[in-house]
Amino acid sequence: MSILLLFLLITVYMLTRTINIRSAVAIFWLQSCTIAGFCIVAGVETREWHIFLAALLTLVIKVVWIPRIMWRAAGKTRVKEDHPALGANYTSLVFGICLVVAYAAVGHFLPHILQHDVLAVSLALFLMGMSFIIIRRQALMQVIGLMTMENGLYLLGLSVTKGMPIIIEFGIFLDVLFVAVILGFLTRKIRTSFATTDVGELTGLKE
Amino acid sequence: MGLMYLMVVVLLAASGYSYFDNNERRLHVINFCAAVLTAGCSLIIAYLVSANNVVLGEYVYIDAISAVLLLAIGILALSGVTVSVEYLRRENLPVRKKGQYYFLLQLFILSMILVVILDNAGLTWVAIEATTIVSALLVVFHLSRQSLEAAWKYVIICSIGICFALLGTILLYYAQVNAVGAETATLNWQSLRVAAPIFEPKLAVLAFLFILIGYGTKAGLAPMHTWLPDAHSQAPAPISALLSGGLIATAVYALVRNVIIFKLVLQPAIWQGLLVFFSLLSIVIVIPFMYKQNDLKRLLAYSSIEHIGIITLGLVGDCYLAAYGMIFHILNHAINKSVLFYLTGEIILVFKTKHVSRITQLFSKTPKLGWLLFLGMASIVGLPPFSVFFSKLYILFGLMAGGRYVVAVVALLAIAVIFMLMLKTVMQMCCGGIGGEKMHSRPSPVVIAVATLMLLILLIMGLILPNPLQQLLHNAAIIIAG
Repeated sequence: MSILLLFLLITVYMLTRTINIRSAVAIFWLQSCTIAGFCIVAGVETREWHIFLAALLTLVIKVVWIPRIMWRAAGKTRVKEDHPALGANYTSLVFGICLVVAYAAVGHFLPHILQHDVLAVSLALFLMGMSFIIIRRQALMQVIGLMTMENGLYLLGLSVTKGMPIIIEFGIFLDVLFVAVILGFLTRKIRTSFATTDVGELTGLKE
Repeated sequence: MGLMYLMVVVLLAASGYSYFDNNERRLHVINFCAAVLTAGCSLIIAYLVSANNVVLGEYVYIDAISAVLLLAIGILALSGVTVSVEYLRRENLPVRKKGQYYFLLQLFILSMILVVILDNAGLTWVAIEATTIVSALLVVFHLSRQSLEAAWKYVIICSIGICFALLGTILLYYAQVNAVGAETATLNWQSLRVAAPIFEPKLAVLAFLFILIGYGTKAGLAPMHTWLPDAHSQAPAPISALLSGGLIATAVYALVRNVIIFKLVLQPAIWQGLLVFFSLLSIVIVIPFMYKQNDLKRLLAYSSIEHIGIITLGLVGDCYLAAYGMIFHILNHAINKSVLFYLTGEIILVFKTKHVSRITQLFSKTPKLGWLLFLGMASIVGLPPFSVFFSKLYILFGLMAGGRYVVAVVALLAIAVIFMLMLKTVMQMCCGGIGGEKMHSRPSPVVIAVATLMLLILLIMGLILPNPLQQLLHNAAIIIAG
């Protein structure tokens, strides 16, 4: 478990360092694989069939389907690199801050909980995903940020409650998939009509 | 119960059918019939619920609160589809594209209905996320550059918001599991309410904070409102009406359900304080944006943010009168704001501009449209005898009855300023100015008829509230006020 957690943190750290869109997608793929691994470990520990089902859904949707959509979208854009609002060093610093805040929040609000580390790491993933959306300007990078947030939430649900009731879990998976599909669609349309996927340049709508 | 399934099946069938059909006339007729059926079913369900009890199913639970929302969505569905028929008939688009429009529209209505009838915090979350997905596609329907920008902002900001709500819901589930054990914890609204008093308070604070921010983003509460004016102003007119009238009401519904639970465990200072902050900020922050706002649809979108603030103030009151005003205001705002968006869409089509300064002398150029717009604006800013006046009054009285004088006075002052700003704008359009755009076409009689009918409903609700509706609002207020 702890090794998987460490690996998750490393993937997020790598995300802060890269500006190449394709490598960011590859790192996101690694992150989703780790989450699926988590799910399988949790399934083996608790021996509950619905966690295995969730693991299967994770594999199909988050490891195969969504990275494939993003990989293709990344292949079609001419721009291969992001020019973020903050440099890589500062982004890594933001990641460090997120990690500290997450540990502090868990320590303050849930002092007696057993899975202290899992909770803190998932909260850190959530916060870092959000910062990533704010910092990065390329459409696909923002999608990766959103999916990182979602991965953090998934990890949280898995660790503290051994998964939500299965029908809710299923609905969440479906929603995440559709959000990814729609953001992919919008990215394509933005590329054709603005000739860029730098959403920082979308500034037509103001007061 | 059967009616519920009928409604869902009709909406699914109509949307699926629209996707494949290639006959334009048939498309309009079928979708209109589906809308009539939906509105009829929601009306009957609301009546049945007002008569006595709740509708119960395995995953469905309709009490008075859901019934009011269902009624609002039913009215919006019927009027929205009717106006859409007029709107599409005059648009020069391929039939396939029109079919896709109906496909998405019916799914959008269905997702909003699911939000209010599902009996589960988790499933409600899923349905709310579904509304974002479907409505985003409707916002970009014309694929213009502005609408793409608006939709991108909409999906990204609302998805972040909804992630917060999911985080809150997971924590809520954890609190329930801790309180009653994993076997009986199901996230049902009813079971949550029973278990709420034994939740761990610190955990509940965290969960409530995340849920408030999450659903608040979707409802358009400031400071998370930045996506709302863009999305609501770039969507096609009937869709703007559904977004402003229906969608944000469903997000508020989710918030209300959660507040009912959390107020059993949290200190009043915490949850009321948070709500006061967000709702007063929403009411006040729109004033500079409404001042000299030259885009008619953006003006209405900012007015929606203000009204969401007023509605959440009703929750703060935490007494019968405020709760009654709040649930009444949700219904009134849904009807009134959609009327205004239908009329605005018509004005934009007729004058081919949405700039307030280019639209002049409506009273003499097109009296019907001008008077309806004037009356609709007069109603939304709270002039009697329209029902919006009464619901605002109940909310403010409720706040004062609860001893929150400062909050009530600040809100009242801001509402007064907005009253002047909006009336000034509409007076300028109706009788002021010289020159301006010429009329390019005549306004559609169908839209005028729909708008007249809906304004009449507001007038009747203001003068004599029908007995079943009053009973419904009364029951809902009792559930909310506890």
